[in-house]
Amino acid sequence: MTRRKRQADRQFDAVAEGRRLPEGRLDDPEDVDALRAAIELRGAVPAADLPSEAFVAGLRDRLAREAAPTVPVTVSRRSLLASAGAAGVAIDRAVLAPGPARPARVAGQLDPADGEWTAVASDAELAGGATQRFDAGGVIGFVSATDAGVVAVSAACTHQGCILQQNLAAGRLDCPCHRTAFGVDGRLLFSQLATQPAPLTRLQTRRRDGNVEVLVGRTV
Amino acid sequence: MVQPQMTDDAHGPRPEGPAVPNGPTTRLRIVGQDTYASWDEVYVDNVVRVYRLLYAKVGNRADAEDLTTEVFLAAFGPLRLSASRGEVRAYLAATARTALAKYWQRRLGVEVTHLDADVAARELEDEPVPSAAPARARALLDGLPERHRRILELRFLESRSIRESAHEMGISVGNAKVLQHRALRMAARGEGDAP
Repeated sequence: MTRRKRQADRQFDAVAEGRRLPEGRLDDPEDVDALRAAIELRGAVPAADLPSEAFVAGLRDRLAREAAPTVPVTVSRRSLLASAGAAGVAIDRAVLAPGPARPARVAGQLDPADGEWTAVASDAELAGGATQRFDAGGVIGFVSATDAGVVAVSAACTHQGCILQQNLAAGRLDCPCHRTAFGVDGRLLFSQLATQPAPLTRLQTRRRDGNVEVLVGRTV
Repeated sequence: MVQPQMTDDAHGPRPEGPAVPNGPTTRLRIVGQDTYASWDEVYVDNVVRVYRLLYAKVGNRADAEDLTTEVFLAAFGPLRLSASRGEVRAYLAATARTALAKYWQRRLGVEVTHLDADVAARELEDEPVPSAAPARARALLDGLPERHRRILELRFLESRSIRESAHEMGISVGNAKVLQHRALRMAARGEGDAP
């Protein structure tokens, strides 16, 4: 095997084995094309393209220390989370919380400190157990009339925060990122992931004037 | 659902900082006050998207992490918090494109993959879409001779070592290496249908 070939093989093997690509020179355009094909193949491994929680949390700390914002940020983290609503909370919990401190697999509930009741669906829209998608106060979610009453959940998957899509045919909420689905009441139906994601974050609901309202962070 | 619609000229770094959202010169058609409240929120909202974009172009975790770090460190200087989400993402996409090009020049002296700014900006948009990667991988493998297809599946999709792959196929490690090399070149040439 020629030296040039070995050089290319080191690159191919690094991709196959998920290692950092070694430095070198690729002069043969066919080797360049072949390396590109190797990278494309590798991209098809399910969930391989998701960053580790340790990396995401580490870079967040580093940015907070090093990349001090050029514009002063007056919003405190607490109020941000309150106003960002359930989507933010869910992402925060799934991606950024350190592993051991993570809460058990129980549904979180969004209780904004400075909340605002916002109508997201009419009773008529929910008649017969229908599910409605809503986007209010920084929260994307789904509200449904279930046997146990009206339930509103955040649409942010508790794994990595991907926005769930309503699967009308199956009557469930599917994650577009990994094979994971939740019931419209937020309970986990199935997941391909080794660590099963928590149920969806719930929002407080109430009925008022023929509408269903959810409690979301006040829009600032 | 707030869904920024990128116009043709809404990508690429603008050192002056993006236009004021919802102002008369806004370059985006957006609904509502669609901006980030803090740098932390910019990060939380985009880190996974940026990482995935880059991982698809370098194929390994360590380099994808380095590049993602580079993108956020580089982008947080010139960016303005008043920029809309769409503009922030367009800026991150453009920064990612530049970082990737520099990475390949440093590492191998040739741009093996590149990011199209339009495509990258679209991929950073709100709703993550199911990955097209499995379909692309299938297209690369389809029609390759059986042994060539198998070695690539074992190595790249099933993450088996060269030794395991050779054993599985009943060939020597040396032969498995040669087969992998040839199979990648064939796949890249689109010679799936070759005998």
